[in-house]
Amino acid sequence: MCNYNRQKVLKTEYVTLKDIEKDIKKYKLDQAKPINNGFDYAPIFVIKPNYSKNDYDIVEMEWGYLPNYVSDRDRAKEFRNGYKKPDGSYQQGITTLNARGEELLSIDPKTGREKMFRDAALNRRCLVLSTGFFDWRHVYRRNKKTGEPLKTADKYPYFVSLKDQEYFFMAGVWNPWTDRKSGEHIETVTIVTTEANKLMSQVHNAKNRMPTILDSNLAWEWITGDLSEQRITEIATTQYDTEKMQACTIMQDFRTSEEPTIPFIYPEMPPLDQTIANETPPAQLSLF
Amino acid sequence: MAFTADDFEIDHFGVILHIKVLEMQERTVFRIIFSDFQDDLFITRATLSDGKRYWMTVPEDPKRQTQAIEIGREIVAYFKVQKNV
Repeated sequence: MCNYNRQKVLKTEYVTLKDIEKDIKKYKLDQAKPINNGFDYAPIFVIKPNYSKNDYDIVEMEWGYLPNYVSDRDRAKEFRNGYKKPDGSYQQGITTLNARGEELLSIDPKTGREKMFRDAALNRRCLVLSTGFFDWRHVYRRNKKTGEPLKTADKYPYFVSLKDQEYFFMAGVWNPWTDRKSGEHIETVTIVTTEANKLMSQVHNAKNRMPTILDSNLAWEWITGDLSEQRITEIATTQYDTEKMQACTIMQDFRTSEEPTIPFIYPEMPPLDQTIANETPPAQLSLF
Repeated sequence: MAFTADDFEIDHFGVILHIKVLEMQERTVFRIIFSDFQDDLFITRATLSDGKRYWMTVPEDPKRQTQAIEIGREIVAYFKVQKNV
């Protein structure tokens, strides 16, 4: 016998209701708004293992990891956006939307201080559910007279997704956070990144990074495995195969579009290199 | 009771409820969308250990159980009316 909403139900009924809960979360994910802008620090859907690590829950977490030393919402705003210190100097904000996979577990050899994400990477790994992500390609036009590249790049937005896969998993680590003034309790999350693969090095050419995308086996291992530090770093730096990904240019004002992922061709845009190293014949990048 | 209708609306104490009919785990689940900015509510009819049928909020939310039962009754009334139309 189990309790659900303080009513006694048989175990089979309880299991069905719990399964419906999961279906509702998936349904909400389907209905979610098409774009999550990281700098909104809005909730995103995250898969985290249950306590015994034999099942998982789909939950919403605030995107933008908050460490526990950030005491309240006012301090969180300063932490993220920066603030003017009493001596007049400016403290830069810290962006924790992403965490570099190579450095998750780092400890400063001089000070012995751990990276902000170390404890979470060891103990609170999760998966961020995604249908695709947006990145900008920087293209430097040349000065017509001198032929030199201009200093300011033209930025072209791309929508990047996986071929034949509606949803996919990105590695994440999370932290429970409590506002010590209001008592508000939330969970915050950061998305792990790795070095860009051949496709993403062309799209996100300013930073040469990409999210750590995991196939279902690695995803399960990431959230449920009892992993060594070496294995955590190996998975955190997994580079998803270029040939399983696709990218297309989209409209500049995609953020305000109801259908932000619709392809848009820029005639002046140099095409992506579609050849895959050591692959014959080269795969054709889908433009939807 | 087999619910087969598409979306419908009912008036609940002056608040219009837009109701979506969903199928999950071979059960009918109702998504209640309120016109007064209350959070959406998902309800389904569960079977208690004594065999009685009982409207439940899913996920569990004891604070909204009374609301679930009230709206559940109105959904049943709605379908009874539709059956006789």
